Amino acid sequence: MRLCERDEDAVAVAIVRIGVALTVAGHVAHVWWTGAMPLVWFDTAHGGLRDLDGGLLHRLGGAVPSVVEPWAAVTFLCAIAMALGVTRWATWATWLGFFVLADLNQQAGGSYDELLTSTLFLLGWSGAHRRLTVLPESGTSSPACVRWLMILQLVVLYSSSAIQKVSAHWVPWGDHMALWYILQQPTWQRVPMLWMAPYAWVTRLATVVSWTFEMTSSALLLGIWFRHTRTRPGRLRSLFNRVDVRLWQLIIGVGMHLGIEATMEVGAFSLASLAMYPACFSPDEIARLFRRNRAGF
Amino acid sequence: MGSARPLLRHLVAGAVLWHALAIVVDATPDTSAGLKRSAWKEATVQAEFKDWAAMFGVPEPKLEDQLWTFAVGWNNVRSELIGPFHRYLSWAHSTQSWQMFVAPHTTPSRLQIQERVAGAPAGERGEGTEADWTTIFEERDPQHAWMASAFGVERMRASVFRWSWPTFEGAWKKACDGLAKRRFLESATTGVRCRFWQAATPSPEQVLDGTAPGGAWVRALVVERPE
Repeated sequence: MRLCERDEDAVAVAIVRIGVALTVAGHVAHVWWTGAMPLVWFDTAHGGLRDLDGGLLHRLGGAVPSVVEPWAAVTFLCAIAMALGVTRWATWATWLGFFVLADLNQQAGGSYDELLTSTLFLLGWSGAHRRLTVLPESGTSSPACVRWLMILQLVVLYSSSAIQKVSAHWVPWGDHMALWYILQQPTWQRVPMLWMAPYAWVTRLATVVSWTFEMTSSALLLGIWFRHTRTRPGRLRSLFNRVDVRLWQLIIGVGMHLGIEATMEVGAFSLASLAMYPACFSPDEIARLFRRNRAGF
Repeated sequence: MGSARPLLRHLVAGAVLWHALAIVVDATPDTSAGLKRSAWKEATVQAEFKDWAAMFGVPEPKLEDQLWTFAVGWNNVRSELIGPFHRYLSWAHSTQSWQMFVAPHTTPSRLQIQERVAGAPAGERGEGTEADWTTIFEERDPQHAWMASAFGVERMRASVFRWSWPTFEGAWKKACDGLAKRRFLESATTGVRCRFWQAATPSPEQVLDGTAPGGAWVRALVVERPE
C-alpha cells in the first residue's frame, strides 16, 4: 500500500521507456527493411504466406499493403516520439500500434511480442515521459508501484521460463546439452555452430548457468526489495546487501542476453529484456551514477 | 499520488495487486498447446520421454500416460485459476506465455527451396529426379540465398520452425504456394519444390570423430506454374 502511495523520480522508467521504444522502432524497421513484411503481415492474396483476417485492422481493409504499411510506419514514428519523450500518448500509441502488428500473424512471432506489449502497457501508466524528454519537463515524478511491477514482470518472465525448461538436457541432473542442441538448430542459429564441438564444455557450462540464473531469478526481486529496505534488520537482508545479489543477477543476465544475441536470432527478445534492467535501480542510484560519470568526464 | 484521496489510493493499490496476481497466475505453465498425442510421437519428444523414464526407472509408456493425466488435470485447474484474469490480460495485451526452448529439438529441420531447371521434363508434374532441380534457398547457406534477408528475420524463422512440424501441414502448403508464386514472378521456371532436411543433431563427440548421423528429406511439396 505504501509503495502505491509513493511517487519517485521518473528517471529509471524513463530509461526503460527509451530502451523499449528504440527496440520497437528498430524491430519494425528491420522487418520492413529486410523485405519480410509482406511474408509475415500480408494476406496470401497480397503476397503473404498465410490467410490473415487482419485482426483489429479488419475494419480498415485487413492485412493488405495499403493498410499494413502505413500502420507500421505510424507505429515506427510513434516509437520514435516515445523515445523522445513526447507525451504519454506516444507510449499508448506505440502499444496499440505494436500489438496490432504482432497480432496479425500469431505463427510469426515470439515471446518478445508479449514482453514488449506488457512493458509498454506498464510504461503507459508511468510518468516515464516526464524525464529525459525533448519537451520541457512537466514534473518529474512517476508512481513507484509501476517500476515495481516492471521488476515483477522481469522476474515472472525468467521464473516461468525456467520452470518450463523440463528437458533432460536442461536440468542439472541431466547431460547439460540443451544449449549445444539449440545452437545447432538452423532455425535459431546465426551461423552454423558445429565448429564449437571442441569447446562443447562452454555450452554445457552456459546451460547450467542459464538454467540456474532463471530458476533463481526470484532472488533478484528479493535483492531489490532488501536494498530498498536496507535500514531494516535481518540477517538475510544484510547478506543480500553485502554480496549485492541484485547486481550479480543483473551482470549474469546481461552476459546471458549478450551471448544469445551473439549466437542466435531470437528477434527483439534480448533487447526487450535488457531494456527493463534499469527498472531494477532506484532513481537515487541512477542519479548517483549520473553524478559520478559527470564528475569523471 | 501522495496527496490523492484515500479511495483513489485504495483503487490504485487494488489495480496493482490485480495486475501482479494476473501475470503471476498466467505465467504458470500452460499445457494446453502440448496436449496432442500426435505431437508426443515426434522423435524429439519421444527421446525426452526415454531420458526421463530412465531417470525415474519407470517404463516409457507408463510415464507417458501419467504425464498425460497430469497435464490434463493441471490444465483444468489452471483454466479455473486464470478465468477471472483472462479478459483483463487480453485487453491489456499482457498475457504471459514464456515457453522458451522448453526442450531442444534434437532432430531439427532445415528448409530448402528449389526450382526446376530449364529443360527438365515437367510433364509428369512431380518431383522427378534430383538432377531436375536447382537449389535457390537453404537455411544458413550463403551459396543459396534467395530472399535470405527476409528468411533471416526472427518472425520468418518462427514460421519456418512451425512449418516443419506435422501439426502445421495446412500452413506449410500455403507457405510453399506463396513462395512459389513469388518465384514465378522472378523466374521462368516451371515448378518450385519446398522441403526440409531432417537429421539428428550430432553430439560433439560425433562431430569430432566424423560419425555424424545421416538424415532424410521430408515434407516435400511441388508447386507447378499455373498454365
